[in-house]
Amino acid sequence: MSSAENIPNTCHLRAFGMLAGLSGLPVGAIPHFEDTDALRNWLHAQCPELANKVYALALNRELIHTNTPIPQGAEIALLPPFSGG
Amino acid sequence: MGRFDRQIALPGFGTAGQERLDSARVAIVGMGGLGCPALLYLAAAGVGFIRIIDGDRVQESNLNRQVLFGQEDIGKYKAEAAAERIRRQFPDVRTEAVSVFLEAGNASELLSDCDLVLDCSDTIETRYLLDDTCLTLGRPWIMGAIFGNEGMLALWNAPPEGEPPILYRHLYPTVPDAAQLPACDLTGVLGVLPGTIGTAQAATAIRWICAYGDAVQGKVKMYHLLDDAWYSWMVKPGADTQMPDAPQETQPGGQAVQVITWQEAELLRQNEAQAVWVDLREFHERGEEETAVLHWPGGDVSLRPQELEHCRHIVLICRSGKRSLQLGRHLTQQDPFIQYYSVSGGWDARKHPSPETTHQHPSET
Repeated sequence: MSSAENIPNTCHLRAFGMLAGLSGLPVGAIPHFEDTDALRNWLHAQCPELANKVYALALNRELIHTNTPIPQGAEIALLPPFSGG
Repeated sequence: MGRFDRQIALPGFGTAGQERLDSARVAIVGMGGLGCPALLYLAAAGVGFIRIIDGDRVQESNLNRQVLFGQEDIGKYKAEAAAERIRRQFPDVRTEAVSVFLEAGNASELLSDCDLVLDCSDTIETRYLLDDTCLTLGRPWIMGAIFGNEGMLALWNAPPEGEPPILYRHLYPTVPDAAQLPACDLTGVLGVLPGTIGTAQAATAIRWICAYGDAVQGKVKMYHLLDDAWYSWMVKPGADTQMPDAPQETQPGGQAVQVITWQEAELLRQNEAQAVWVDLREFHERGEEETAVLHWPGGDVSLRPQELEHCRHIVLICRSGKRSLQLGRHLTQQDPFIQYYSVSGGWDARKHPSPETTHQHPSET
C-alpha cells in the first residue's frame, strides 16, 4: 500500500541502488503525472544525472516498456541494474 | 537417521523432492559472496552434481563474505578451494571445479549438460552472456547481484508450458556501460548481504528443481539490508526487446585476456621486451608507487598512454583485478594482436602472490 494512495494528486516514488543517492532526485510523495513519459521528463528536469543512467521503471510493481497512464496514488519504482557479487 | 530426514519430512517435499535434488545438475557461475552460500546450501540439500565455474583466486579481502574460504586458501583458485571444501563436508555430492571465467567461447559447453544455472558473477557482461546462452540452450537461470547495501534476484527463462520465456533483456534491453556499475571493491559490502541473496538463490533453485512452492520467472526481488525490507515486482516481455540469434563470440580468431599472478607478471616484465605494466587505479586509489609502471586512470580512452602503441604484451593492474579483466576483454576485442593480461587480485593481492600458474582444466570428483 503506498503512502501516497490517499493523498490527492500525488504518487509515491522509490529509487533503488545508485539512483537512491542522486542529487536532486525526489523520493516519497511526488506530484501525479498523467503518464510515465511526463513523469520521466519531470524527473530528468529535477535530476539531470538520471537521464544518463540505465534504469527500468515499474508502475504498481510491474515493469513498463512504453508510455503508460499513471493512476492516482500509484507506486513508482526506479530500478537500475546491479552487477556486484 | 539420514542427513536428509528433516527435509523429506516436509509435507509436499518428501522423497520425491529429495530424488529430484539428487538427480539435478546445477552450474554455479562465480564463487564469490553469492556463490559461496548458494553452493553450500545446494550441497547440503543434496543436489547431485554441481559445476563450479570461476577463474579467480581467493584474496584476503574476500574473506568477510566468501565464507567457504579461510586464510589457508588465499592464492588458490576459488573453484578448486570451494570444491575441496564441499568434498570434505558432503562427499556424496559430485562437484566439478572449472577454474576459468565464463566466456562466449566456453559458455555452451559448460552449461549445456546442466538443468539449472545460478548467476553468482560480478560483471554485467556475464549476465547478458548467461541470458543469451540459456535462451539458446533452453535452461532456466537464477540471477543474483548486489550494490552497496541492496541485493536483487530473479529467475529467468523458466516459462510454464505454452508461455514465452521472460529474460533479463526484457528488463534491461541495452547493455549498460560497465562504468555505471561500480563493483564491491569501490562501494564496499557487508558479508551478510551476499549471504542473504546467495541463500535466496539456493532457495529459488530448490523450489524450481523440486516444484516445491513459488518459482515464478520474471519476479524480481529487491532486498535492502539496512531496513530488512524486500520489494517484489514483475517483468513482462516487451514488444521492442531485440533478441540475439545466438551468443556472440567476443574474440573471433583472437586471443583471450590472460589472468595471471603477480609472479607471472614479474616474469613477463623481466623476459619480454615488449611487455609493460599499466596501473588502472584512479589517482585517489594509489598507495605505494611502483616504478616502471604506466598510469592509465580507469582505462579512460582519452587518457591512454602513448607508450602503449609499441607494446605487444600489456599487463593491466587495478585495485582488485576486476576492472583490469573487464578492460582487457574490451581491448582484446579491439585489437586481437596485442596480448592483454589481468593481474589476479590486483594491487590488493600484492602481498599474497599465488604460487600457482595460470588456468586449470576442470576436475571432477
